[in-house]
Amino acid sequence: MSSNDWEQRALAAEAALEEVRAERARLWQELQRLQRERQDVAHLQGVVRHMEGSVSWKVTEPLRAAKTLAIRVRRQLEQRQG
Amino acid sequence: MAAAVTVAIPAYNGARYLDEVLAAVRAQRVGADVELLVIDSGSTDGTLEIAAAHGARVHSIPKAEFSHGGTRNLAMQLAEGEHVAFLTQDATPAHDGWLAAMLEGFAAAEDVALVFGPHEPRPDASHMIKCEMERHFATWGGGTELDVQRLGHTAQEVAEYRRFPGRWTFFSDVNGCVAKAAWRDIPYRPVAYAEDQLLGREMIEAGYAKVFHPRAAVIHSHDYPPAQFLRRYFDEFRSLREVLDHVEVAHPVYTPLTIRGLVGHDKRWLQRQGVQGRDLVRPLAVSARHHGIRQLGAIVGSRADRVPRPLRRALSLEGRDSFTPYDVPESPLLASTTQPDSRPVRLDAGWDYDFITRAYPSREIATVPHAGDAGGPWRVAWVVPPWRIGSGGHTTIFRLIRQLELRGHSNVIHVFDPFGHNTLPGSELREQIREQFVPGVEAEVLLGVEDFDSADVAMATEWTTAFPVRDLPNCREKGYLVQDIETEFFATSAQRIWAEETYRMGYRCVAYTPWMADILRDDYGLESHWFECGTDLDVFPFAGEEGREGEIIAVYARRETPRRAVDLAMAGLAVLAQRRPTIRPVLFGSRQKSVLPFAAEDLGVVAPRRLSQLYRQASVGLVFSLTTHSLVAHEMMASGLPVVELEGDNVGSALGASGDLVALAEKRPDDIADHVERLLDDREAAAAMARRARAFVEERTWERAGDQLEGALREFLANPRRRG
Repeated sequence: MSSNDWEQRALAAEAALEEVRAERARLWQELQRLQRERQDVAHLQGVVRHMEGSVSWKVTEPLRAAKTLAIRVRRQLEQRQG
Repeated sequence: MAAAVTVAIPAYNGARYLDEVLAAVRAQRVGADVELLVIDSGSTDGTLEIAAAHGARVHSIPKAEFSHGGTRNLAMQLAEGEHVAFLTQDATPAHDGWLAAMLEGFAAAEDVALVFGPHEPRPDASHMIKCEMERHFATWGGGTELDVQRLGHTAQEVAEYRRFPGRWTFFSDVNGCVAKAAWRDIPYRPVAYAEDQLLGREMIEAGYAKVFHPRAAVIHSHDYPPAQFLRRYFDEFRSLREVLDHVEVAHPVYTPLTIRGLVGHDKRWLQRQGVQGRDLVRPLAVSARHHGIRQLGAIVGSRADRVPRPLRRALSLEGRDSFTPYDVPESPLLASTTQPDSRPVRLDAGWDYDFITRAYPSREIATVPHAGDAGGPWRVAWVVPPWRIGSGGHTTIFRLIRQLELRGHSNVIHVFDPFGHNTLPGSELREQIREQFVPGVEAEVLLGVEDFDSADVAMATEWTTAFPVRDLPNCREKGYLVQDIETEFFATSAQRIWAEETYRMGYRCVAYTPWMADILRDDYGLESHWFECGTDLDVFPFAGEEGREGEIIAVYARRETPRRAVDLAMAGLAVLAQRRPTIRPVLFGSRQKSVLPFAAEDLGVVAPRRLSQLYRQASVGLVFSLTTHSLVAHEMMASGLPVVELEGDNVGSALGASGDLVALAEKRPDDIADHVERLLDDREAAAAMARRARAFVEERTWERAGDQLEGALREFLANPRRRG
């Protein structure tokens, strides 16, 4: 085997190594993105829990129930008329 | 052969249920010899005969010698078994697997000292008693699962213990089993009552485990007519006061609420039994009466010391008129105060300096061995403290991250926030970086270091971050970006000690300015590279003399940062204002209000573009640095504004001699006034200095800073850290 072949093979191996390194860096960044999104989801779940546990949310519960009921009644009336 | 387990029953005129109880004990199916021990204190109703009929070993004591704690200690001494299961004379094992379940509880862990089981009410018990028992024993394993209780020692666990100690301390020797080995260590206190509660508390606080076994059940309940209930609760709570110093709350609002809550429990229990509508009225009226009587008995009983002796006797079911507090040791974990005028503090696992507590004993920087492959792209993890918009230190970090990104490296930013300053999620912080600091930054932002995965290089950026970065796993190398000598930020204090500790950890450093790198190398023996910051020349374009207003002095007056020596600048300006009342100082950089002895404007914290406008308008800029010199000086220099700084190695090593690039004043008000006045008067010399300063700044680009940082990181990766 000529020295040229060895050089070619070494260059190819280095290129492959670089590709692997780049792919590893890309996957690592993807992992960071997924972890950040998981943290964001946990944060937003906490915000919802906090909101739904607040006094103002509980106090206004009848208003929301009344609104839901009103929408349902209106739909039924519309269906009957339609 | 000695019995493996003893069942011990203190008895006094207990003929009513004793035969049933002893028969149930004898019927137990357990793979061990069982000793039956009855300690009688003078029964006259046939108790002794019943015990003898069941083959019990009877030990008699005079009635006067009986006490709940003392008598059980006697039983423990007499017992042959290594486990002693206590019953009362009216507690009948619910089935033939009761004792086996007790022994099974000890097998749950090696350190189990006590095992107890539930009480099932007798069929004729009232619904209040049935409901109370069910609810009480549901505390452990929902009443249906084996539950091991052991006291933890974290702040959160101790706080939970203090909030509801009964969850851990409750033990009942109506139906409980004691390991003799643990009892030798912690015997019963010789108290007249609540001996089991004391034993439970002392065992659990000594580190033993306690087990609730749902199958170790007995049938046991008391029911009395209302008046007798009042007297029984009076006795019970008097004893709780005597032994545990418990005083029942008596409050015009809380007490009725307590009663209402207990009736509510009964209502839900009855509904679960199928009682609905009008059928609930009568039982709930009975509940209300029962719980009202109970609270009355509890309130008066726990204040029995204030009740006249004849009334005490009348109220007591036992007919006892005494009140004798017992001297029992207070629980150090439950005690709220040692000094009468002290206030309890909040217990919180999220203590600000918990990361310091976990950081010792000191250890080496954790890295994984590697062969020195510096090929990229690298994965670089940055651990940074939380920021405020406008933070100069963070701007530098984010600019450096952007420079690495432009060179193809991947970055992630972990926000280490032990003081709880940050309220935003990572996605919003990322947007903030891109919108308020450095456009284009691609790095993800994660909160904390708990989600840290791996990195080629992990970088600490401030003293608090150096502690968690040291211990991060899966990193080939670790570095410390040191922008300033942070020990100088603190007076003599714990924080100063900790900040200095981070310079002794052996980090490989990348310092802002050669001056800082020299300190790290010379004073702490650290491998130290350096970089110099760039300046955003688009935001701070050069302006010549035209357009500058004669007496405007732009002053970096960030009062929140003592190293900016703002009061020294103010003193210099005060001297100058007396000489030249026409000067117009314009302060910026602080959210604090100023009171000054001269006329001035204060812009507060403003955007870079507004500052740029000021720098092009003013005639002199005043920026003081007592540690590494400020980038504000660079921005003024870029804008063609002649600058006065304080003399010293920190500034001189970077900016040369006075008059080369900036004027360097001695740290005296009169000298500061002299230097400012000279620049105001000699505009030609000032303009020449400003042009040289602009050329100096133009050479120091962010690309150059990026090259310097990348060079340092390549050096780290190509030459693995020496170990040991």
